[in-house]
Amino acid sequence: MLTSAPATVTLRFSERLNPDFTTIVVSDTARQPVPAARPAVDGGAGTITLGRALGNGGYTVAYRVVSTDGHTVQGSYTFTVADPALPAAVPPASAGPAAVPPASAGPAAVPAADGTGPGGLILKILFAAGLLVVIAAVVRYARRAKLPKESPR
Amino acid sequence: MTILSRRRLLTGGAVAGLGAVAGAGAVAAGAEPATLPGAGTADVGTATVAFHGPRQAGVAEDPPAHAAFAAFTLAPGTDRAALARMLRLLTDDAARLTQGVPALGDTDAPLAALPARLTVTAGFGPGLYAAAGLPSPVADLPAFTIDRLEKRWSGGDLLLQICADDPLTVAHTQRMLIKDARPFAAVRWVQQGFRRSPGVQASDHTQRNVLGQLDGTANPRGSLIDTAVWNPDGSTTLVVRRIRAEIEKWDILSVTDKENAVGRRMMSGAPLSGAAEHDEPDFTTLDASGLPAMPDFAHVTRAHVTDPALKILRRPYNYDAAPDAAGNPDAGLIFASYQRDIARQYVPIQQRLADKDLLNEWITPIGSAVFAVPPGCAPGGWIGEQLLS
Amino acid sequence: MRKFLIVAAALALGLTGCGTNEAAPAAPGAPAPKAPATTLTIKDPWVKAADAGTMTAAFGVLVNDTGAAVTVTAAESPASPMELHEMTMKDGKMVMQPKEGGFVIPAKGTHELSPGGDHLMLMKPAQDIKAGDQVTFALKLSDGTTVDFTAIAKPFVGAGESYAPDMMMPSAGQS
Ligand code: HEM
Ligand SMILES: [Cu+2]
Repeated sequence: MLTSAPATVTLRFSERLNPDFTTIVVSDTARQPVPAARPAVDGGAGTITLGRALGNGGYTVAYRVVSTDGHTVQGSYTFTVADPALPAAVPPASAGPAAVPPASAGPAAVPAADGTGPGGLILKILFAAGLLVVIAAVVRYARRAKLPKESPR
Repeated sequence: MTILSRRRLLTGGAVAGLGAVAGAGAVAAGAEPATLPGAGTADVGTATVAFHGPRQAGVAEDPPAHAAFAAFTLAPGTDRAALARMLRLLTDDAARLTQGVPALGDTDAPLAALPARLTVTAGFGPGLYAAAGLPSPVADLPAFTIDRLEKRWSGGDLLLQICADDPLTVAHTQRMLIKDARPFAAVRWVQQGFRRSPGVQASDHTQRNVLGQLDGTANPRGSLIDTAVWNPDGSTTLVVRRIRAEIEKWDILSVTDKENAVGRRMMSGAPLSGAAEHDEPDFTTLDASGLPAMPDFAHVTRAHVTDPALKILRRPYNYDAAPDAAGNPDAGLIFASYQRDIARQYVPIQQRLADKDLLNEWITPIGSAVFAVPPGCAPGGWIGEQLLS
Repeated sequence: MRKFLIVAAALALGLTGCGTNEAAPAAPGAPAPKAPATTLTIKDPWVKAADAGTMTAAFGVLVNDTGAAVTVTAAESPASPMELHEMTMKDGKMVMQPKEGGFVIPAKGTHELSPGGDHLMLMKPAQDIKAGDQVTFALKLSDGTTVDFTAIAKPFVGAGESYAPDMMMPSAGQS
């Protein structure tokens, strides 16, 4: 539950990301994608800057990235914005963060731990294929007044 | 991959058992379909494809099982008159051999008796036009970042694409043609490839390539081939790329990884946005988590073309040379693509794939050549006559 | 291209047809044979490419559709002086020599001219006969008629056959 709407969403991975093969999508409970520029990649972090301010309500962050040996890694989690300064949400999403296993049967992802990192949410996922990928999902809070410029990509 | 126990002798008499086999094979439904009823092995050897006509054969027909792509470098000083002599000879050979008739002076005439759908298709590289003092309608592809081109698989002034359902027929034809080309041109490279043998699958079934993918699903068919491939004068163009497949690396992947790389299901060939092989891929379909069902980096997403006039006709053959001592395969595709106009149709697709395509992790272009494919000829004519006479 | 080589392309290549076994004069658009009512035809004619001055030979299958034997008594070509040759064993070696009495093609029969067998010898081509050239020939028949045909020149090595002047031609220059 976030009490302030995020302007950007950053996912941190244990491996370097290839910007070409990094997809991050935020969608609302109606499964409508929130417009966003293509992710900006910095090492293992992929950040999308949302194209509009999020209202109160539930959201899903889904990612699809490719590991250095070509495995596709995908998954999602949800979060809820409940900003007392905004109109109430309809309907609230299930309590976030909650790991949703990747939609397809790839390297099956098992949520191992989750918690709160500095300024955001951390999600660790242990991949069955023998490799441990730590995914830190950080939702950065930003005042609407200082929304960062969209990433150049 | 599952081995489908559909092996069956394709004699006419075996067809009687087909119904039973099809029933027993229900478990494998949606996998590889049964063989075609009524195709006896006897027909395979004697079947012919017409040589003469306004368009060359070997383009729009279902690709036979075996192919040799032979590229030549013209001898210095080969002028227009010499080219005409060479093409008269090669046309004469092709017109005979494709119909099961020995070439003139054929030293192994009995080998010509089983044409097995033999086609011989001639393509002219930029160097041939230069030798003839004519402007070339084709130019080498621009360099792409993914390219690791080797000279021994690239370029060529003349190409002979030889296809047949039997490898001995291809070998004999290749030999006869090379003998007649020899006074004019040196062999630059030969690439031999294969597809499924005739009769092992229904002929309209999409074939698998060495990576196990159903390859050819989105090819234009029927009258759409005219739109994409044939110019009004009966000419077309050909791109031949030798693309090595890193199969050892590909093997490491799970089926889902492979499907994400292509954008289609491995077993059915269906787009990840759909259910059946020939469902149109829908790039707006989202999965439960909101991700596009067709990954934006998938080969099909990147290669997809909607305008029928901008599509290409892919006619690839697999190659599988001897593995190295460690057992690493030397395999991939002889990727042959026909289209009216290389610059307008092929290059934009190739550029998009070079810019971004997850499949690039497992494929590397190591050879590249372009050819104009002149119109076919009538009996008495020869390939290239309009151009060179 | 040299004058004697200029012929209608349709003639020579019409021979290949769609691999059918049609005979030379049947090719559409081919010039009519000089002699009317000729019933000898030559199927699949070709000539071995050779440099000027170097002997070479032309081949094909002579087809006689008539009910009576036909004899070819001589051959002519603007490309070279010609002889009718056969191969024969001499001292354990295959050699060629002029064919006495010409080639006799039996009624409703064929007679093959092939490397290593009977052939139409080009004794001394005036100019190079290059691969792909088309060379015209005329066969003289015993009834006084003539059969014209055009043969394409093939680069050919095979059938243990060579017409190098220093080889296998004990009677070179004779006849
Ligand atoms: C080893 C190399 C390659 C492999 C293994 C490969 C494999 C595939 C596969 C499995 C498909 C999906 C099924 C189908 O429609 O056939 C496909 C589609 C396609 N490929 Fe490739 N491909 C290769 C190279 C190329 C190249 C070099 C090009 C062109 C520059 C290309 C262009 C296309 C196009 C246009 C489609 C159809 C996309 C659509 O409209 O759905 N491919 N390829
Ligand atoms: Cu002789």
